Amino acid sequence: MAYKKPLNISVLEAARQRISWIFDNFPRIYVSFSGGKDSTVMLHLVADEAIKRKRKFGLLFYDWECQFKTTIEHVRNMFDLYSENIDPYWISVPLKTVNGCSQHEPEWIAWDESKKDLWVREREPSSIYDKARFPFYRDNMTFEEFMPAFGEWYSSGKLTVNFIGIRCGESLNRWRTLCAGKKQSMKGRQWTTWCGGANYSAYPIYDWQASDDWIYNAKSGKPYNKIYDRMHQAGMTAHQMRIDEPFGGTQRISLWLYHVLEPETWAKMTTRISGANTGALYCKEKGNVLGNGAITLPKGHTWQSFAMSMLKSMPPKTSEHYSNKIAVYLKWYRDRGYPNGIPDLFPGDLGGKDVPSWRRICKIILRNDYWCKGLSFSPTKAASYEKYKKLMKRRRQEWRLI
Amino acid sequence: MLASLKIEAIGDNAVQSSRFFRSLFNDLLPGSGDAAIGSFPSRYFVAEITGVSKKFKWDRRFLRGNKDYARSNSSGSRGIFIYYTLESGKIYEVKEPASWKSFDRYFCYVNSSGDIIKILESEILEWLTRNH
Repeated sequence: MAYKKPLNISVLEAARQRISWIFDNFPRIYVSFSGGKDSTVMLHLVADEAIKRKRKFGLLFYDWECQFKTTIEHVRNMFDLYSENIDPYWISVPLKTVNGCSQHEPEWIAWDESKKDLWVREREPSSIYDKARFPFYRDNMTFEEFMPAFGEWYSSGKLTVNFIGIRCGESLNRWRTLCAGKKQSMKGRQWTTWCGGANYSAYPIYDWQASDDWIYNAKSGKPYNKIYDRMHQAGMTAHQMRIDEPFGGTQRISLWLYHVLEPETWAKMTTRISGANTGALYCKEKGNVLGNGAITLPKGHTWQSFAMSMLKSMPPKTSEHYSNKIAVYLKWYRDRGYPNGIPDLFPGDLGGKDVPSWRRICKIILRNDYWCKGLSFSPTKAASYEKYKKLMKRRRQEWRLI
Repeated sequence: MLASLKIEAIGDNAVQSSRFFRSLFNDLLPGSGDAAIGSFPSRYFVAEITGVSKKFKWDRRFLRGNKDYARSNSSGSRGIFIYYTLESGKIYEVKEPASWKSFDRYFCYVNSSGDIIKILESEILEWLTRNH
């Protein structure tokens, strides 16, 4: 059980002490920057320490192509402001990520060379877009694969820390990432996590609240992303405001903001990404449209037949992908207590526990949960995906489950 | 400053399975595991030298490392890397497998920029006197 231990100092002082300890002990340091409020505050704090010690640190920003212009202006401003103390890594190589708004294009590639004429904007001239700069890069790499590989490459075998501006207060998952007992940290400091090799992540502002960011901004007078002012004008609370890749399964809920805050960017995004407009229109709807909240069974269907009819209505490639995942799910439970197949509906299943049912399968399909995280799957490695498909084709013939 | 020392635990699968069966047999019949399997000298270690010992030459405090299985082969005989965190101001003895049959054994310390510098055993006493 984790308990809060008061340190009797302000969160700002605690963050400064943590950053100072990192500078004392780690020879290589870089900051993962998104342009959001948390990473901006963290960048200011790290830069203050670096300036004091006359040290340089890496500043990593992955440019998602579909981003607010205001965010890009802010990022540019930050790179300029700390230009003397940073090794700049403004990266705009093509990376693949999930598109939770479409079954026709369930994944999209930022800076996709084959869609250059549809790009939302031009690449930043100073950004790194030459793939050869990163020897670990390969085509169709995902963001989740790129980031740890970048850390390993950047470390060159030396002990390296990656500053990440996330807070426990953001979500239960964030709290688990930071405070879960089952992780290896540096010298027992729970706000650090060993990431494999010589790489650690550090979360110096993990105990901050969203309001602390704004108190810091107001008192320090340092630059922040002005998109937040516009979000405030659009009626969002401080806790609702966040900046992220736009089309992910959970992130799509903020798509409506684009056409309110930057209609000119939004117009380009709708032609660039399949399903963007549908996502913006329906992502806040509950029920069968995008699987948010409670879903209902159409008349004349069982959950199993509903799932099968949805699979049939999908584009063949997407249908095959989901069928592979569902087959593994069914096989798992066939071998573990459900020899006659999983039930249509599990009594009392409110979605909290992973109890097997066809209703659960319907839910992940409706949600466009491409990697079936709702069925406890992890994403398949992009490099092995073709091999995985061949293997699954053989296994499904053998299992005869779906 | 801290530094990370990487060691490949060649043959770690054999070490782990011998440990497992030794403790299993010992649990079933005390002493039987030690008699049947015996104990082997560790194939790898990193230890901080804390002083001079009449029995072992050096007093040592053995460190625990983080095991990274990301590049391991399926049997676990190659590709398992252990990462030890070393601190400057301390001196360490390292034993690491260079291949299946040969070992590299040396002494080292971490300088102020986080680089690992090897030293000769003959320099340790002088180093310990100077730094403690």
